[in-house]
Amino acid sequence: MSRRWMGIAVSGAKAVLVTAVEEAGKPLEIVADDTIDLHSGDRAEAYKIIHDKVSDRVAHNKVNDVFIKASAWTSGMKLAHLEAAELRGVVIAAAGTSAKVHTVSSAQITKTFGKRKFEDYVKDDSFWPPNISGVKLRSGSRPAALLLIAARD
Amino acid sequence: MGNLLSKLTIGSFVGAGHFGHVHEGDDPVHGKVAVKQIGRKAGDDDAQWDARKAGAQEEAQNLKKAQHRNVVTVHHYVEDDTDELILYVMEFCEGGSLAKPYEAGPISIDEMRSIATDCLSGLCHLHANQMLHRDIKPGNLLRDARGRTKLGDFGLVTDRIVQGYGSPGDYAYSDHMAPEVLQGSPTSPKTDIWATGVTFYRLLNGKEWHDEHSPGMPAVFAGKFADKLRWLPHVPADWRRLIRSMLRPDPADRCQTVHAVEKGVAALSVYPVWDCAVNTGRVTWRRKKGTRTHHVVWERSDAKRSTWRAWSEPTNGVGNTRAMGGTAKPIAEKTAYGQLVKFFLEQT
Repeated sequence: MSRRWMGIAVSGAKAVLVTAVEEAGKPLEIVADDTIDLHSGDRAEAYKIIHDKVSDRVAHNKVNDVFIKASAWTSGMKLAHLEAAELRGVVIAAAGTSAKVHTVSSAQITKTFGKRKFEDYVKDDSFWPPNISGVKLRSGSRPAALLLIAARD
Repeated sequence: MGNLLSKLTIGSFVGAGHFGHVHEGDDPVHGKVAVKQIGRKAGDDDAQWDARKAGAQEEAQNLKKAQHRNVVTVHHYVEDDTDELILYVMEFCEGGSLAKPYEAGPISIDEMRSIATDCLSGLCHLHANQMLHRDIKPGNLLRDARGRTKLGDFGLVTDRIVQGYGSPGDYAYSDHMAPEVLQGSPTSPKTDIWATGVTFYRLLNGKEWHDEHSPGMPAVFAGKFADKLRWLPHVPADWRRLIRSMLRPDPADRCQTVHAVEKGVAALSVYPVWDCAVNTGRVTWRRKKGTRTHHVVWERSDAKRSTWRAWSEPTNGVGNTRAMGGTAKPIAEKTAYGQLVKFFLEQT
């Protein structure tokens, strides 16, 4: 039985959403790949807007499960990291309005999925063709899609 | 069980649309509601009226799919026992439609972005559910008590009625018909995007300016509509670019999806915010910046002898007035317009 999954990668000012159909024994079929940008101007108002947009997108794509890369501590944390974490919280809450949300750490992905680091899979052009089908995936959307591929294994 | 009677009571008249009159109503469950009454037409025979009722009922069922925070909710559908009237009972939007604000003048860019965001969110929801609006215009954008904008009057319009916009009674909104619709193609998500673009243009510039400067249906037919639009000088370039991208004559070149328009709206400038008023022969702007209020006045009653002046003064009235720019003597309106565009571009 197929299920509809969405992988979301969040940065300080945008969320990349990759929707795919997951069916055992088949490559992950990408059905949508888009970006929702945070509105310029007042950040509180922008969070409310992106919350509404993400929850709409999850509902419109009839997504069952959402996978979001978890916040991670890095040395030399700056305001941009904190703002990205804020936005990630908003997106997690929004995705949860109509789907089950799984937050996934990079370490979890590396441990359960492959031998290489998360970023190595993102950069490796030969890795992608056998693993995905469907609509063209933008290279910038690979981190969001990799969350889905990792979730299958 | 006997006949079931609704406790709905119909109140005062709110407005008239294509499909009948809208009244305030009072519903025991929903409280204050809007009631759209669709009556049997004088020329309707029984078969025609039955077909209209069946269509309306089917549409009411479809409307269930459209429930969304930026779409006016339809609570229920009622036929009266005389078999002469259909009632749609809908959410009442306290803020009314944007028709009056549009007639009052240009809407500032910060408020306009909020309206655009809400409008596009509702439209995106309709399109995601394989529905079209087909009648986007200021009068069909309604505001609730919290100031949130919602799409109203959707789902009732058919391609046949959209084509009817060319009739004299609806000529005022003929430029909302995309070129391909004028050439006989059916409506589509891209024709909704066109109508939304025209609506944004109207709201940003206000009725007075629109009516004076809109290139109208001939330009739509000629594929020159977007190029010939004339904007109030304070409307920023990024707003103009986005709206023009919604109004490209070839649907293949137009913004392809509402998502694409939303992406553009997210990046739009919302500062500086000018309150603008357009009157015959005169346009004025005002904004507060820090402790001062900035003013701009453009006198344009004579196209060959146009003048403008900008100055600032202390908001509390204590202190000096400072000149910010203007014309030393009357100049051609086109030249003044160019100077004003440059002036607004330089404001931070």
